[in-house]
Amino acid sequence: MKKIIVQKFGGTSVSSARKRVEAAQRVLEARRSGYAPVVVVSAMGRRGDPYATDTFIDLARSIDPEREMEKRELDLLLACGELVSIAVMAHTIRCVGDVDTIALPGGQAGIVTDREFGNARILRVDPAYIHDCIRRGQIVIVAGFQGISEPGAKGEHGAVTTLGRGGSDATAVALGAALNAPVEIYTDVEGVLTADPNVVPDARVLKTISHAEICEMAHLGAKVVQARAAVLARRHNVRVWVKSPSSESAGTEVRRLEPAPGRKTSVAGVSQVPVAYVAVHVPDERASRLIELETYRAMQEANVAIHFTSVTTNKIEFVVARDAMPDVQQVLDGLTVFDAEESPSGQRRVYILRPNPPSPRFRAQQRLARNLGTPVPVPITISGRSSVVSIVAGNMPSPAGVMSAVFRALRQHDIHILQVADSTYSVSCLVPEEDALTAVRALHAMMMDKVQAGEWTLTDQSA
Amino acid sequence: MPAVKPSLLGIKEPVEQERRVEQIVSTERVCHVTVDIAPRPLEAQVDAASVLETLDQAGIKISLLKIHQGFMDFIVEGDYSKRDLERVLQRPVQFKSNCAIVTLKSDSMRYLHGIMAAAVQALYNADIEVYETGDSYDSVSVVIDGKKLPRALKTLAQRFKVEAV
Repeated sequence: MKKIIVQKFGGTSVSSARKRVEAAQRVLEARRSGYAPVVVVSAMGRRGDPYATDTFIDLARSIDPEREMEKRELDLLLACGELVSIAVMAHTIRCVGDVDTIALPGGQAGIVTDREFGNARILRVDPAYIHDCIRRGQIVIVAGFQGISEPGAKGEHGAVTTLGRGGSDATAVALGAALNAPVEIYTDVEGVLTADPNVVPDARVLKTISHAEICEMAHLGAKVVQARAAVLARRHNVRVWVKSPSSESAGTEVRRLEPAPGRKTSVAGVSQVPVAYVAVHVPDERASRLIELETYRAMQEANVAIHFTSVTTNKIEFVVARDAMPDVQQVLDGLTVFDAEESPSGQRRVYILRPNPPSPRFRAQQRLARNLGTPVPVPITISGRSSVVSIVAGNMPSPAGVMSAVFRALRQHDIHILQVADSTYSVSCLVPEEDALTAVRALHAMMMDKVQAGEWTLTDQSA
Repeated sequence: MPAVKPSLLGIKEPVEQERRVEQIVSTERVCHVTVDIAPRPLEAQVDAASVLETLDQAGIKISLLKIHQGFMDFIVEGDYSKRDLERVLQRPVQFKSNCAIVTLKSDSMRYLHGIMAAAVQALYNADIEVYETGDSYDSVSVVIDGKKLPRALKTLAQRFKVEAV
């Protein structure tokens, strides 16, 4: 039996006839090298292109903008993009290489998920049919981003599900795990870079990066590999190569690498993600915990993840994803917190979160609160003009050294750090949005200077 | 036919774990340190940088750093006393000894909105103060009084229906 390789092509890599031929040639090269390729493809192109996922989303919305399509039917619709793609790619590869190909929707490829439409979790992969096809000498083309649910009630045979945005990467890695095969992810950059090349033109392609580092990078905004696919690759120890279909460069290998105690700090890159910053200015110390708890509870109910939390006696600060900002504004505006204890004057305090300028909802709550006690406005700031800029590092004995270098580098550019955070694999700074790109460039330059000076190493040099 | 991992056929564990907190781990014997720094933002950055450089050069491992107007706080791992740190930093520090870090881990943390909120809420309801928090792609951490660690682990294990290790 031939060795199997999973090759994934994203939407832009199959968006035109020329690019599809280029992708087909990559597949045929792998076959000539002795591999049995299993190809995973995304929907062709981007919003506006006829078969792109976002085009189908727009189609669903156009029916009645006031009413959302049922998630089950929406998944069926969205899955069509990849179905078109596998049929077209199967035929393209057949024509270019005169080889036998077979196109498989996610369900036929053995990808079984739970029933969380729109964001389904892969429960198992049964690759028996893929193996059959390979034995027959066929090149298998699998639809990314989709699977099939387990049979449901009342004789349902299972429904088509989708895996969420960027889910084709997860399909490829799950297949890699199930087939015990390495995975190549073809994208529009030459590999995993030390920064976004649109921001830092001299960003370098890393030869190697660890599973943990790529997970952290994806979490912190790097878009080269979907975060969930990165986690899957780490969990199942799948070796992944990230490369460009139009380049002869070997790309970046993502594999298991353990931090080496005692070695120099090794850095992988700089990333940036836009966020919204939230500050609740607590008017009196004794209410701090009460307001903190109610704020957290509201965030939890709104299903919004909070990061960079920082609590002092007079301020509760955190950041949320930029797209969660409307939900946060909605739940915090006029949020009312009753103090269980009476004040010395015998009045009960009623704390009401107040945006600036005060909203109609705040004013209404304030009027109602007068019947219950003494209303106390709690000013809140919600700003969509912040970014988190991070250095991802694979071997960081303590974040102190990296953090001090970051502080000095940003100070040189007069960039005010609003807050910081650290984890085993990263240090991050919250900075004003208008300074974010300068901050990325400054941190990248500082990082490369330290590498040049031999104080730090790049992660691929320490592998 | 190449080997197919049994786990991937659903025999042992699903390809993707259930979206929930999978593990709770703790680190004991850490201390929470607060150091005054210059109040003006850009000066504060330089001041903070020099504190961090000193700690790094002394091989003192820190984590969960936060900066505020006029002060910074962080966690120091290892058996250090207030006097040890003041000697290294050559400035006064505020110091809470015998703290513990409790970390909730999950591969699907990005889908688990509200874990930090739920953890802090559960701990406060159990009358356990949270000194500091932090998060990464697969974890949420809280710093508490080390004496309350057993109770915190029990509380969080119950809240997230997972065994603490």
